[in-house]
Amino acid sequence: MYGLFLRAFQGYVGSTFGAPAWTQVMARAGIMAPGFEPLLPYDALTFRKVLAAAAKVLERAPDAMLEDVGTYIVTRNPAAAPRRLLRFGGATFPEFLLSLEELPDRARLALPDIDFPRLTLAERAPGEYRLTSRVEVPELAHVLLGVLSAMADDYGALVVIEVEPPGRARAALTIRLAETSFSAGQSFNLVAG
Amino acid sequence: MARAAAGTGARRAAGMQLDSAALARLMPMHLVLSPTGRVRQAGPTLRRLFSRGRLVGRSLFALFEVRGPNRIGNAAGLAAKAGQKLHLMLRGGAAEVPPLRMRGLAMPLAGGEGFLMNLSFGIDIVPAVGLLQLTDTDFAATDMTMELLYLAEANAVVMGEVRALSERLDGARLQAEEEALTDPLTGLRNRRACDSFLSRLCREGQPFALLHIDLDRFKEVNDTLGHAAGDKVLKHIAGVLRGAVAAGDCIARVGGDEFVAILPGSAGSARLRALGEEIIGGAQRPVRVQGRSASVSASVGVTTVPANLRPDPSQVLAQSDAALYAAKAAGRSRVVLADEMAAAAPPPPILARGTS
Repeated sequence: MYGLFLRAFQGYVGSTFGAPAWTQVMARAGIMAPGFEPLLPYDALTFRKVLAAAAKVLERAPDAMLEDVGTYIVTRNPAAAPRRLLRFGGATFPEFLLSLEELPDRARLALPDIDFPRLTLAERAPGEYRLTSRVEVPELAHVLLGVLSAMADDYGALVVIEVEPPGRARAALTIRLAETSFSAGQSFNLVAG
Repeated sequence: MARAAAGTGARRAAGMQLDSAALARLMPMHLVLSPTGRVRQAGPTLRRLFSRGRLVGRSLFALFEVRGPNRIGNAAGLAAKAGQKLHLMLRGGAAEVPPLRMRGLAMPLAGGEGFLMNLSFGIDIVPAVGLLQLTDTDFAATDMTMELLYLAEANAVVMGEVRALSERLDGARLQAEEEALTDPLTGLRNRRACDSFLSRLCREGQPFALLHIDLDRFKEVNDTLGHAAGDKVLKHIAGVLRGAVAAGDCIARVGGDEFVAILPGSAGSARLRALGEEIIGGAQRPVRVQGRSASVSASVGVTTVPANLRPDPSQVLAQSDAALYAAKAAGRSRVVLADEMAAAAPPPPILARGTS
């Protein structure tokens, strides 16, 4: 999973701050390769190194960057693949939220050896959900925040999402659904093109 | 309205009734057929296939070619295959989409009232969804179509990534190979590349000429003007060799001031001598280094290998070495062809492989 994420991070930094900025980030992180391969395995330590280096080089708060990466994954990724794959989760935003628990299993259908963290969704009150995940890097909650906000826009839903202060190896977010059809959202054809 | 009942042991279920809206939700691609196989009712997703034409009242067999596995052309045939998997193909012209393959299952309704048939897109699901612009809500909530479409797309994404990864790795491999075979200072091939090129020509029995070039007075330039001057001279020589030799030939720097040019094909002695002299002439042109002039010369030993000899590469190199040595001994700035060396001091012979 870190491969997919680091590749997205590379795309985000390269397209937002330019290729030389990315080269500086890699140099500062002490990584020899020019970039990351989405399908190769990397560990949490590499992720932390790159995040810390980017925060220094780009002078940006890590949490804000991670949220931007989440938005980038859904809205600016040139392949548009993640947005489409996530939209298969359901016809409405609440259905999409329910499908998140299946996300690791869906990911494994395509990449059998992917190490994707388990996600748990609980409905605490009508229209109020809590999404939790056991992850080595709880800051990933901010990536989820970016992804979920962008997906809510895509569905045309109005939501308020809060990240809970990171616990030990646990990421948690609260999602309050204000309006499921706030805007028309983006259209989605089941078959691309 | 359809009456659905199981055939045997149906006493309990016999009274079960579903209104058409409920049936449409459970099976958006169902057909209720009359005892003769005419459409009485159709599910909403199936109706999408015939959105412009009439559907109710038409015969199943006019809409679809039905097989199971033999061709089924009437209601009696359908009854005989009740409960078995049927293959259907949309008839051309019956719908506004190209012929799609579908699969189905028909069960008789209680009291001989006809059939309830459920259809699905089989392997043609992806084109069908695209052509009909189907969405999540066109399928029953229990249907696996969404998972299938998701998987098809996820698969394509992963394959795209795999292809991109292999292209990047291939690019890196080519670059590494190129670097492994190149002399970084002059950009000529290196000894490894030269050996490999020579071995290939020998193995394949191709005719070729090999020029062995050694600079005269290069050490003086290095000692008096410094290494930067020496490097500039070497680059100058590389330029001379590139200008003299064709693109398909192999030009390599094989030592400090030693070069090899391998020319595939059969070139005559006169041409090879002229080529050697052209190289010496070029090498002698002075090079300006920091306001001073550096000049060297070159000696050239030439050997030729005829077609189909397939010699051992080391013999070819030994012979060109001997010719080069003879050129140096004869007073430098000379071209010596191994074939023309004096009988008194013949070069080591080149033998066909296996005869040495």
